[in-house]
Amino acid sequence: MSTVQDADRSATAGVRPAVDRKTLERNGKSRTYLGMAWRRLRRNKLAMIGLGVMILMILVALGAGLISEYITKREPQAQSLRANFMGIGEDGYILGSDDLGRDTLTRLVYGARVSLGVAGLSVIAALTLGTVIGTVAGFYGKWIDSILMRFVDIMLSIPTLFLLLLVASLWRLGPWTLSLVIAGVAWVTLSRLVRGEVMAVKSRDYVDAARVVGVGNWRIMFRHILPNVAPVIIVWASLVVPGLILLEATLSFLGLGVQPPTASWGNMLTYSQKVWSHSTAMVLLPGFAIYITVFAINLFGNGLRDALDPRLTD
Amino acid sequence: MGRFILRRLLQVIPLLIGISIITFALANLVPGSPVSGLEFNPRTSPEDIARIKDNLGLNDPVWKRYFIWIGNVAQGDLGISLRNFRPVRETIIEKLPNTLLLTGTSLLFALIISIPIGVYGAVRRNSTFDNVSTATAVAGFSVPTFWLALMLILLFAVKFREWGLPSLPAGGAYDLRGGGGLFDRMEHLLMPAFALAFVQMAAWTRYIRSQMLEVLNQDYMRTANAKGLRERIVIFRHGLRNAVLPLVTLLGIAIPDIFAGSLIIENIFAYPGIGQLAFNAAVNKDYPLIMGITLVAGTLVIIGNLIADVVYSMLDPRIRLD
Repeated sequence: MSTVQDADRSATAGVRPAVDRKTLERNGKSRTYLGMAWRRLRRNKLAMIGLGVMILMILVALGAGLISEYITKREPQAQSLRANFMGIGEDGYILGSDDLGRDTLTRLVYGARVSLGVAGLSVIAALTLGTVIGTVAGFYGKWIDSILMRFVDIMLSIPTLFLLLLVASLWRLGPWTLSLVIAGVAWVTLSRLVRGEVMAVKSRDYVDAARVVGVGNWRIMFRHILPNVAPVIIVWASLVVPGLILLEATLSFLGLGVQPPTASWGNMLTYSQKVWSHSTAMVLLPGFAIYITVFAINLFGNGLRDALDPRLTD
Repeated sequence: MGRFILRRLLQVIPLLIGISIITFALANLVPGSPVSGLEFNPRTSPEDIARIKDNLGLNDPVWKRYFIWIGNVAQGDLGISLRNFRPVRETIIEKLPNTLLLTGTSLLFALIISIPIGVYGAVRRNSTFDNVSTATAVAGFSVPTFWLALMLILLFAVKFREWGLPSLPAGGAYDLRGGGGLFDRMEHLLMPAFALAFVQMAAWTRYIRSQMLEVLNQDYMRTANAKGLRERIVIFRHGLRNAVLPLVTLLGIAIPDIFAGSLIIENIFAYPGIGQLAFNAAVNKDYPLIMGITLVAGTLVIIGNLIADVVYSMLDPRIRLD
């Protein structure tokens, strides 16, 4: 009797959890936080268009070499004085050429590599710095917080461009150092945001629970608190990248960023000022490239913000 | 009220000290010294170099040099330009009014254009006007300022002249051949101020619209409507006042951006202000001048934020309580 019952029980016990796990997995897959955010994001048409343009731009930047090899069939620095100021589509110059006969499309494509590369690198550096400083300030509080946040206040009150101007006048900047310098001023706003979030999260019960179990400070900060602050960081990153692209373009435009002959969208615009009586397209195109990229990332960033945290919507 | 202002003033002091330290540190981190050029000159003896270094105070430790420098700055002495050997203070005072005129005009532009559009968009929510203005604002937010400036010049200064239409001057603050009158200056301000205001315009239009939408749902708005007041009075007397209030803080936040923008705009339009001065100083490696400008710009931003905070606390007594 008892053995039968036991067998029966063990049979159901053996079957039921299997079913449960299956349904759990099925439901769980679509109900995770990120899964739901992704579904919300997919419904936002403008954000998806932005994402598409963004991916396209990244592919173009990565494939710059292939494009110059197979599509435009020209090198970015190759000059030809017999083919200067070609019109759009003239003689194989898809978007025309400049006063030295350099192919505009090839240069734009290589410019994308510089613009997106600098923005990408500086956002990664700024993310790291801002997150660490914000987390430490928010978690420890007291004098550490005071010192770090007063520093942030100071950085916020010097107009960014003036500070960058000072730095650019003191050192000669290449793409790598430029990214680091831009990151050096960009992390400030993030650290403020992260600090506020960390202060809110650190009083939650699971943080106390982790502490009771004997988890150390650093592990609590980066394994227990940080994942809950992640949405804020992701949204900040997606909304700050357009600003960084503009900043790099502005510095290069002023002649303090990426130096010619390396093409960047900013210094192409500077160059176009010299020749605009000959070619309006040269003024229009680099600016348009910046505009489209920045606009697309802004659209995507807005959508991402709405999807990740509907409360943040303005 | 007095205590609030006093407390805010006290907070300013560490900020000013911080800005001066950062500015000084950056300029002193640079490898090389003012006499490093002389060291390669075979006609200067090591004793001469030592004497020059001593005279310039370069043998003192960094912290001592900082205190000498900050002491001079506190007395209004920002040093002497390495380029034309004029006092930095004089040069900045000469150019500052032009920049303040430009930034002030552009702030005015941004307010005059963004408030009505934002309010009307919120009141007529989801109308064609609202949709078009919101889309334009989102699109306008992404426009690079320097590109917009170039486009304006290309259209209104170059192409309009080619087409024989009345055109605007492409740059400068006034006509160098006998200009300087009120109309002349306004004509020269129009394009740069608009280009500078554009990004702010786009951002503020969206902000005012969302603020206004929030205010429209408040109880006091329903009460005002229920009293039978005309819509115009409800919107402007009861609604707009409350919606525009947070804009004061936003104005304070926008000041650094506008200063940074003026740096770009002044260089494109050859407008003789602080921004152009800073840029030329950077190109010429004129450290005292660019340090002075950074310091002044930072101070102006802090003063701007201070004024914004005080004005806000006057307009909205609620925030003084905490």
